[in-house]
Amino acid sequence: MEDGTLLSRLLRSASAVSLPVHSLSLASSKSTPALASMDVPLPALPCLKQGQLLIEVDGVQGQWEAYDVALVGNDITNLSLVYGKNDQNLKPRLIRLHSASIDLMEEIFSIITKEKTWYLCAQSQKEAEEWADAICTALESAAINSSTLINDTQRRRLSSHVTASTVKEIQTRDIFTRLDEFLEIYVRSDLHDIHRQATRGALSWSCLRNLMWRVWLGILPGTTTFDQWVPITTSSRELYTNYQQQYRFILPSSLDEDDIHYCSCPSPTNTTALLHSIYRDVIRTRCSMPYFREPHIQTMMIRILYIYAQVHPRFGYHQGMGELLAVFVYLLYIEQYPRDEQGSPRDGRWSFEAVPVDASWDDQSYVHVDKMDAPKISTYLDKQRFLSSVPFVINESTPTTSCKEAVIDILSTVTSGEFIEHDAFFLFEKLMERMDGFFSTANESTIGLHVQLEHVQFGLLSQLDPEVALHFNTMNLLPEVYLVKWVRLLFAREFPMYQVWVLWDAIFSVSSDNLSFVHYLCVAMLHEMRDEILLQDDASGIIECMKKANVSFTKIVDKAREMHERILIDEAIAMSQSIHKSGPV
Amino acid sequence: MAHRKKVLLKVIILGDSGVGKTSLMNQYVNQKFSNQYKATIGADFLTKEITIDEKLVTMQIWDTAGQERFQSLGVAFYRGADACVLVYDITNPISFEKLDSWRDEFLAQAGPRDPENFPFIVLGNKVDQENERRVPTQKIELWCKAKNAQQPMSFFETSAKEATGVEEAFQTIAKIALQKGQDDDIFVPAATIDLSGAATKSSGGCC
Repeated sequence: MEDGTLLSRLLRSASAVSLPVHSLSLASSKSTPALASMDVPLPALPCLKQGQLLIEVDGVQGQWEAYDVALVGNDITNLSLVYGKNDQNLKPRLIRLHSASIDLMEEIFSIITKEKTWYLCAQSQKEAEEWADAICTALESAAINSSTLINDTQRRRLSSHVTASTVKEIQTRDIFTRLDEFLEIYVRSDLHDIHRQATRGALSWSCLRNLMWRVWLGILPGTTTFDQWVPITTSSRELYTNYQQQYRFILPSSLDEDDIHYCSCPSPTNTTALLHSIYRDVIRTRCSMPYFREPHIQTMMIRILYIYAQVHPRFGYHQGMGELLAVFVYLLYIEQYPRDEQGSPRDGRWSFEAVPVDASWDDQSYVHVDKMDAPKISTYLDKQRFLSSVPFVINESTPTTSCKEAVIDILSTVTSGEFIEHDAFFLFEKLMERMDGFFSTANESTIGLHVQLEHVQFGLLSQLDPEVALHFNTMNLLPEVYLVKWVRLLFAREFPMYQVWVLWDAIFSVSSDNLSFVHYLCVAMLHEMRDEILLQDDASGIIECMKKANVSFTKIVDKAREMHERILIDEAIAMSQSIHKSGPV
Repeated sequence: MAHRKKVLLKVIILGDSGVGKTSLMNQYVNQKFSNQYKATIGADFLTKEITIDEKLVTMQIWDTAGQERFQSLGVAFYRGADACVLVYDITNPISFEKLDSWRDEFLAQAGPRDPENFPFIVLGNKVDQENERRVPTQKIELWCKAKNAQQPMSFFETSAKEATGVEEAFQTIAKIALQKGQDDDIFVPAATIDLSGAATKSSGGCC
């Protein structure tokens, strides 16, 4: 493989991840004695890691049993966890890891496959992390190995195969990968196609999703030429810096200072009460993620929410806002431009022209991944033409070095990790503009929320799944009881962060103006749980089963998209019929 | 009154954000405590079946958002409530001072027939943090007496974390509410649990 191909860069970035990659070098070692004694029929598969873990027996909660466990395999089709006991009579069992995602909760980690979720428990948090890392690394390497066969003349498109490991990998992507992705999405594609792909989860592979969100939310509108991206970004950052100076605050250290007149609907003018409310919620936001337990991150979130409430007194602060903000903050953190380069793009050590367009990535994902032949186009896209053009114009010309440098300039400024706070503020502000009726407690807007909730249950649900809607009515289950959280938080509480990103891709791409796609996601969510819901004979049973439901995020996006299209078609038909009727006789 | 199959008690938990409403509910219903509860958005409820004086009672316990008040949640949450649990945090005097306004607002919104004798109970939570206590027990005692001199409100100091006083507190509120319910003759004839409170109302109840 030629050095400098995307693939080799991916390999490099994968090995740069701080994971125990050395475990992969054990690839030639034999099955471990423990497993050998279990007579495992896995003669050819290398063992990557082994040890003892507790596994929840048959998925019964709280019923753990100790097993010898080994991570084995060398490609995406055979990568598995084998677990068994030192007992000749019991055959070891297999958890196939293909397309699995891993979730870590202290010393417990779960493996989520399409079929089921497994819970495993290690001796310590550190040990659990090691297992999770080993599995993620193996999955990553296996995915890369399986793509080595793909023809070099094909161009990579986006894939939706997202796992916790992908998120780690995204952080380590180098400037070339970022450059490639930028050109692919913003220069060579058209907006319609990107929308279509985004609702199919395709941005899961992206390391520049935050840019797409800025486009959708109108921070960098699609009509803006590239030469405006940096000025727009820097001037809004300056604005935020002014806010920071204007609305300075000191977080009171104790809660019982005499001057606090605590009120539960803090007004922006009652700053101490406001800060306390924000503080109480921020320390409870995403606290299972170590990132959000960092004091400086919590302080940053408090500052953003506080400044937002000051700048927008009509909205103020409401519980749940921090949950939405966290989604932006974490995305900007993960996707920030690499801080220390091995070489700056300008010093001549990296020649862009040596970078071919390139290989492909995992095509095993649940949605389609386009692989396109890279056309041999002899025209060139120079810096001037690039900067004066708008995004999404399907320009297939070969970018010149100076053009690529211009892209790098944009990326290094706009996605800089130094301004996560500033950029998160504006993403959040734009989101709030669209969530007027979701939060405000002003009377009309509150009605807005109720109208939305009723529209979901009595409108869309009745239309798309009448049986469930009828069941809710019979059980006297009102939408306020279960929908407030889904709608207000745009599902931020219901799924792990990287899955929330995918749901938001769909919400923003389909309904960037009013986020109404979230209503379809609600209906899709109910539809996915319908079998259990219909079994319940009282409302509390339904609520219980909603809490326990383990719904696949990809399924609900797919289902919601399907339902949305159905409604659009129905409306179109209805409209054409009414035109027919009212037309000239 | 032939088919008094099941008695439903609708209990609402109110109090400032972060005092431990969700934790108390989860400790009582599921005997679980987590340090990682998130701010409640909207509301949530759990049910628990208990037996009081040989009667099967279903307690439907509503956990509300501390910042929310009632306006954005609609009538579904408080109408038809049989009892109300007011919670403050013994390490946070402001949450204690807010008890008055929570009580007043509840009475104003739920509009029970007999507000003077509506079943309330007060819980001072987080007694596991005794060395950070800022609200002396005496203060709450006085407050309860001040609200109703003849029949002071019951109060308990609890720890959702260590399960201190939780069971007793909810047992007590269930008993008081049941007693009050018998006085007022509220029974829900339907076997299903009605979340709107409409059935309670229509069955000749408290409103």
